[in-house]
Amino acid sequence: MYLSQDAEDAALVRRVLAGDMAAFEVLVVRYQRPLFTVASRMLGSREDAADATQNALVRIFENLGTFDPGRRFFSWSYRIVVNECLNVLRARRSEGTAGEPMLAPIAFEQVAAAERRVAVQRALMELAPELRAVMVLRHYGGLSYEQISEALGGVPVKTVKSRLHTARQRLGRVLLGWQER
Amino acid sequence: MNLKRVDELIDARRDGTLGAGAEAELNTLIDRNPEARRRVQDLARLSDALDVLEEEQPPAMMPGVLQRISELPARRPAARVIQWMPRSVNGGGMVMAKKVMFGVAAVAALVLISVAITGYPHVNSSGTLGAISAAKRAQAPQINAADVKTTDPQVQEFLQSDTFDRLVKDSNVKKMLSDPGVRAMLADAGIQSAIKGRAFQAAIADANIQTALSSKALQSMLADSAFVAAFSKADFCAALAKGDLQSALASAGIQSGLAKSDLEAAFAKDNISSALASSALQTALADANIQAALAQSGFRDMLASSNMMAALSSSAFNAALQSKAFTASLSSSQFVSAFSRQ
Repeated sequence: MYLSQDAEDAALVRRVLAGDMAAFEVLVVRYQRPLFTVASRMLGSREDAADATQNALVRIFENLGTFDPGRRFFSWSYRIVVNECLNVLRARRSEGTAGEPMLAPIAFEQVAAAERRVAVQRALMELAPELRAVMVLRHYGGLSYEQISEALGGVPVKTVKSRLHTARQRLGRVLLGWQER
Repeated sequence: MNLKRVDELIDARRDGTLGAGAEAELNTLIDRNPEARRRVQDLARLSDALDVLEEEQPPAMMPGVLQRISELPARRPAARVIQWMPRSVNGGGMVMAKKVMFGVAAVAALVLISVAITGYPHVNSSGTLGAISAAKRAQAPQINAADVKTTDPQVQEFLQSDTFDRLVKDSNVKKMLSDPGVRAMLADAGIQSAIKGRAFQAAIADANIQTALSSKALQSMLADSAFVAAFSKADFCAALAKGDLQSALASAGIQSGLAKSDLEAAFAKDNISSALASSALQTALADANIQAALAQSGFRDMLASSNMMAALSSSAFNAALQSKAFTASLSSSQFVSAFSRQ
């Protein structure tokens, strides 16, 4: 019988809650890559992203009993990983380890792919965390406005749209030389 | 030209959720408006640019995750709920669950109301921490981030966030601010002192706390007349001001507990706020033993457990909340004794 991904996730959660650790491993395999990608874009560091993702996966397990099967498991998971990332960013700020200098607009499309990767990640890191989270969840997580709202703990959809627009404008200016409109 | 609208239509098309009317609107915009056409091209270029960062293969994560899970106090959340709930029906566990609920609710209330009304942590011109005077609060309960000065960058960030903005503009919060009992409570020296604590500052900066603060369910609960009445009573006030509660506030357990979606749903239930108004509960909350229990790590671990959160949202728990005998039991010496052993 065909089950949607959401229904499959809900069934896996039920099995974990019944004590089936193999079901949790299926969830980890299914979601570790997208969660890690989001963490990596949010934090700009593979090492920190790995720690944040691992913390998030443990917290997902710990809190699985509170998961509402009427909601999407992946949105709920993204919420946990985004919160982990925000805490890492706050800790960095208090330790004074954040803050690459602002980039000047570059001839983005004329440089090599490796340089473009560095430029994009740096441009993302220049965004305020709340803008970065929306941009990352939309572009790299593929979430809809409503799913982003859910993943950010109920931020209004209108705010999601506004942040996404602002984030795009800033990235466009830094990477592609968009003019202020 | 509304570029945001173009963005919205393009996103909907990409998500496959663009209806016929919106599709026609987008096509018309592209056909007739050069700026819209340029925006579509710009978004495509930006998307291509961002795609240079591909999805990443994470390092091996499973062994570390499983190892950490094996070290957790309870590896099977559901199993622990099953074992715990029958005891709850007999009284002990259920009472514990209720206390945890109120403990978390009280902490959330303290954070929310203090931030909304006092603009914590206010720093005066001499650089020392202080709070907006009771008189000023009474006259001008609405504040904004500009009213608040702090040297803590994390708190400053929060004060400039959408969460804080929504909080101070929320109609329920405004209604609460107009309650004389609440204003009197906030003038209490113990509460003022608690607000200035370092634990409180750390909690404010935590992402989970901030998520909880943005919960509509929590804000609705705080606007409930029964809850407001409870909050303005002396015993409840004294309980909130105790140092142990402040210590508990800084714990990962409480912060994690505040982020639970089921807890938010529980906050929204009428019977929770009604129960909060009971004098028996307030007496129990003010008890020294309960305050001591709040400071214990075991209690905090329990708060963090998914079993506890599942239990709190169970129908059995909610049925018990309706019982007068149950509410009355909160102030019994046996309950206090059991609670303080945790």
